[in-house]
Amino acid sequence: MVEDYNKDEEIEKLTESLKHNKKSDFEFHDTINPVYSTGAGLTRKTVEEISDIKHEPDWMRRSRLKALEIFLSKPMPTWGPDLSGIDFDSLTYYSKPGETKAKNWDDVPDKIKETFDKLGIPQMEQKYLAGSVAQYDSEGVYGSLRKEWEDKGVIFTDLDTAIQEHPDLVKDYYCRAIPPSDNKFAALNGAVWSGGSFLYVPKNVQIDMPLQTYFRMNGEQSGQFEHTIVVADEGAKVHYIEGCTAPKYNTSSLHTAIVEIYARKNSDVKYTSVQNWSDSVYNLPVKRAWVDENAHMDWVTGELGSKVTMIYPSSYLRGRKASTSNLQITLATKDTFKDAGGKALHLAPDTTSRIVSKSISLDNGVTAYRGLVRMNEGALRAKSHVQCDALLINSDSKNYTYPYDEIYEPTAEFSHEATVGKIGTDELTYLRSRGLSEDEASSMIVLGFMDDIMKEIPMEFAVEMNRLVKLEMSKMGAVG
Amino acid sequence: MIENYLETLNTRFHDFDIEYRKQAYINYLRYPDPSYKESPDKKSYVTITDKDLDRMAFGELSVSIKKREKIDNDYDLVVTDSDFLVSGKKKEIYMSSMRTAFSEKPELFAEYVDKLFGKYNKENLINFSYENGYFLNVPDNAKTEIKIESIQDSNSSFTFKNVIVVGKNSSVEITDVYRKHGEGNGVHGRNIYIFCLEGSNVKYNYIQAEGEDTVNLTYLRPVLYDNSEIRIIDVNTGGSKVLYNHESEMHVNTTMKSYGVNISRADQEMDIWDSSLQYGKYSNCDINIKGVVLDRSSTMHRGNIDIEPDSIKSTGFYGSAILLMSENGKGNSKPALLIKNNDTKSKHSSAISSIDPDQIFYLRSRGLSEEEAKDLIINGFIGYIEDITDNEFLKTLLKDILKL
Repeated sequence: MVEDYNKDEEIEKLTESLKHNKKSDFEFHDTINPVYSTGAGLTRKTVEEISDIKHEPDWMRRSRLKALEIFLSKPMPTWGPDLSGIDFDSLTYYSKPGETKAKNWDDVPDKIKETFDKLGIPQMEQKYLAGSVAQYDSEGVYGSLRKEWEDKGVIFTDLDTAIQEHPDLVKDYYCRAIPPSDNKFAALNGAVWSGGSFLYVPKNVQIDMPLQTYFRMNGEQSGQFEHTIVVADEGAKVHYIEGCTAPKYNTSSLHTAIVEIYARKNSDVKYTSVQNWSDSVYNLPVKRAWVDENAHMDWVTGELGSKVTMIYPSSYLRGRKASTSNLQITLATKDTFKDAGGKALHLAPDTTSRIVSKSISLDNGVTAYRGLVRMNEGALRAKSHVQCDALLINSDSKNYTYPYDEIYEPTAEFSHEATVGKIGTDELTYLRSRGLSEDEASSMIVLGFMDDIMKEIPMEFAVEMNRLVKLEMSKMGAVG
Repeated sequence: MIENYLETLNTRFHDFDIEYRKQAYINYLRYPDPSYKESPDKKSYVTITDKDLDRMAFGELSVSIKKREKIDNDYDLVVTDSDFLVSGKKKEIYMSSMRTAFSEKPELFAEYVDKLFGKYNKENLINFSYENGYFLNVPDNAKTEIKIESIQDSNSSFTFKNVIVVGKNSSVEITDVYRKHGEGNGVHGRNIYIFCLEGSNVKYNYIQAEGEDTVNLTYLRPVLYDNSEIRIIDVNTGGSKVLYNHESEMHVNTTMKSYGVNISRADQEMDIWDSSLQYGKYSNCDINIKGVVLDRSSTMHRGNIDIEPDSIKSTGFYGSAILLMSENGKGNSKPALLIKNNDTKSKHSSAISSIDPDQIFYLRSRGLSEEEAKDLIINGFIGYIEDITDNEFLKTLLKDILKL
């Protein structure tokens, strides 16, 4: 068991240690030569090569090739941000950093371990986590799970290992919620996916500490295409966390992940992700949860980094009394476009959903909220509330809000609210009259604006998120 | 086929604003509807078929509306697709058909009509094929009221273009009623351009109660010059398919308030847009729209609050509420905020739901039947529109048209 700790003291310590960090600290890049790489470009041969090196079963190989066909046949989306900067031919789709996967940090190759040390992953694991997986470029380099959970039948490993060790279980869930035919990027992931986590929590097992995966993309002009599957069996409870960073390059990298979550009857799943990719990354993941009867799905996402982000975590509420909550913070800095939102599809009676999105645009950054709530006929007494607020810090900051509300059930209740504005002069004046400088006051207002969501984020992430937002804003000279 | 329309343009309209029509025709062919970069499952909610567009553009004019000698009610102007009657009571206002205005007021055409093409594909279609319409010019510093009745033969298909120019510092209330005549599945397209010149104050009431089987396309385009104001009331009840698209172009220190009510019944499909396009600083927009969905009908509410980079110190609000009254009805809303500078405040809200059973229970416990209770609640929901105006003529009209 983990020793009790004083939460306030921990926050204090973390804040102190993070004060000296800067976002650019995450943007270093290592001089690690991959042991294997497919080289640039995407062809049938690339896909076969990936499948070969992973010694995959035949069904997976066929599934990859089918997905490649779909990817090549689908057009690029014409809505949303400009994606013309992605050069599919010059990306490296697979690069393997080391030969083996370690179960202990000491066994991780020194240079990679150094990277994760700098990011603070091993320390975090000791303190707060029930297990963790670390992925470096295309492959998992480390995986561990506390013994007590392993004994209860919890499986937490990277997906490649899971396919070898639990093929039937993986086959049951792989690409069911998000088939490659869903969209172009789901198809791309289906063809070249590598790494990602596989988490299975057996019936009635309730894990009280979070499990975490950390993704690090190191290569220039590379792509990271992890595929994560989380299954909470009936009555299970789990909190799964993802963090992502990458070095900054002048050329663009691509991150196209898939996250499939299956919340079975009476289960409770919380998924937290804080994305802090560098400004050269196109971040286009597809995240979706199937939520069964009386189950609850919580999405908490922080979209802080990347050049372009398009992310719409979705919950398909499939069983009576299924519920979902989707909390999101989006930060758009100079020259970035963050197109984010959430979807809730009510397919059964008494389902409820709540989507809260808070966007902050700095400099000429653009944030967009794009969300869908659909209540199908028969979703009796379904309820949904959507709230999206945007704060525009500079005069050329932009925000677009495009909610989609489709209600086909008369007993359903739906409401949506959105506001866009800047920091109010009344609020500023009030705080300044209490002795705060303008920068302190703005900073306090911005953090207050995000407060609803911060409360829901695990403490260590919340501290980091606060710091990152402050840091980005101080670059603008807006906040101290 | 509209693709072969050029010949029709040359024969039918060679003496009626032909250069403008040619440009509109080119725009129609060249530009599809602008995409707001919506989401991938974007659907065109009310689909107007190519055949219907053909019928509308080529025109099938009425033979059943009888010609009248003079106006025999309170209206100042009565328009049918073959008739154009002016009461003569409002001598200070220039009122005529577009055809007459084209020859009589070339300078106004050059100034207002021939410059605006609109940005929607079908708006261009109406602009190159319009058969007729009315042209009103209210002089500067006037204070007046205009009542217009358009009698629309349900069996005929046509496009009309109406242009209203309100002079500087004038204050005017215009009530524009579109009524049904007979039965039929005609296709009616109309563009309405309202130019509110500097300092003017305009109230425009649009009431559409056409035939149940007709297809309706309406583009309402107010242009607000500096320091002007407009208040719009729009009511849509008729038509099997209704595409109503209002977008106000707003310049410095302007105010637009828009209040709408639509009731869809039977298999009606309604797509109701209310948008602002705010270019000038200190522009304020407030849009409120309510819909009631009955039977198997469907209603979509859309609207953009579009605040451009120079439109600082501006505000925008869009609010939509839909009351879903039937098991087979559909209610959708797609409001959007497009905010391009930070010195503004904008907000949208939308709500879709049925009647709260507690409210019904309360009324039933007071002795009302279920139906009476529902009607009372619906009337309360849409009745707000009557409180907005103190114009008795309009109030009576609304009571008559909105009765359930």
